[in-house]
Amino acid sequence: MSAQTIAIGTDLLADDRSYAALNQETLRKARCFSVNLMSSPGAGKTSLLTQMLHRLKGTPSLVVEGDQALDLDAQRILETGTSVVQINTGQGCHLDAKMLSKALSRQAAPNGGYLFVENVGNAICPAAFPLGTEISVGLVSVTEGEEKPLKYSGLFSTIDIAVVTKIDLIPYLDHDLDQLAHNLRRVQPNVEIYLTSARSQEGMDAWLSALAQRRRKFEEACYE
Amino acid sequence: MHEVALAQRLNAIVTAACEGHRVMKVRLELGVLAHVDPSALSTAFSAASSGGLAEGAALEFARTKASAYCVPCGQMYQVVERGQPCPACLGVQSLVMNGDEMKVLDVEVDA
Repeated sequence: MSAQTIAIGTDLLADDRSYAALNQETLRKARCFSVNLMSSPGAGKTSLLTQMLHRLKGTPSLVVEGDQALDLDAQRILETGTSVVQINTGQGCHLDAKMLSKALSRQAAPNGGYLFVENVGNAICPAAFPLGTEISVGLVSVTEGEEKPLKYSGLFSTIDIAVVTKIDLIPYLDHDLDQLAHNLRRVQPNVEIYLTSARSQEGMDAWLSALAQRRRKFEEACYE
Repeated sequence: MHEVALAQRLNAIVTAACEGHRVMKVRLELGVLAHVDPSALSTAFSAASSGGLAEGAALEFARTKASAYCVPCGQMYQVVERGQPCPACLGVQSLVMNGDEMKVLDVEVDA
């Protein structure tokens, strides 16, 4: 018996990256613009999403819902008339690319439409796992405090767009929006920031037109 | 908590590579900004490897540094966390270039 060293040199997420690449290819073939929505629990992902879906009528959408248990969020999405695939992760705290791949084999991504992945509410784990979506969006609600992006920089450093939610509550809080924007840029200097309220609809137009513009650019690139 | 999922991936990679030998030690490269806690990963790996060839194997971590590029002044500098100000201009508009690597380097087996 003697010790022997075997070289490996494999990325711990190698399988995830393969599935993510596969998802990206499937989605690009369908010209389906895919968005990974991430935040801590209660930031308002489902509320934002249902309002978005009401306004996006006319563009086919599919929602993939990740929750540890139950299908309460999926029910809320279904009420908007949008197709939804629920993934229950059990004790798992995030979605991964293999789960998304499985969901897309159950329900195909809509051609020329949107795929919204509502990740498990968790400000840490989802950021570590690539899904193959075109963009990542991080939500932060004004009730969470301005320092959230610094405390959970792992997540906020990976996002393309930050959507600040529940801004209708600003009059009742001591929230400093400028400080929040500063902290978001500190961990991701190129982040685009939109201020929204799903309840009052404030800011929804600007956020959705930015999203539509990204989708148009993506479609043009798909045809090239 | 996602260390459980990562430990399962690690066990699969190690088991596939160990050529049927008993694994004594696993060396990993972990960037200082990697989305993982080493001690949580070690604990989760004990559970994930239980009953397999890597049961009881120790994890050894080689921590690698992270660097950032300051957009306003062009300075490259080492960081230990995200959002760390540029030492040259004190600006906080820096792009982190690397440091989130998670790589299985090699295994020591009993052959």
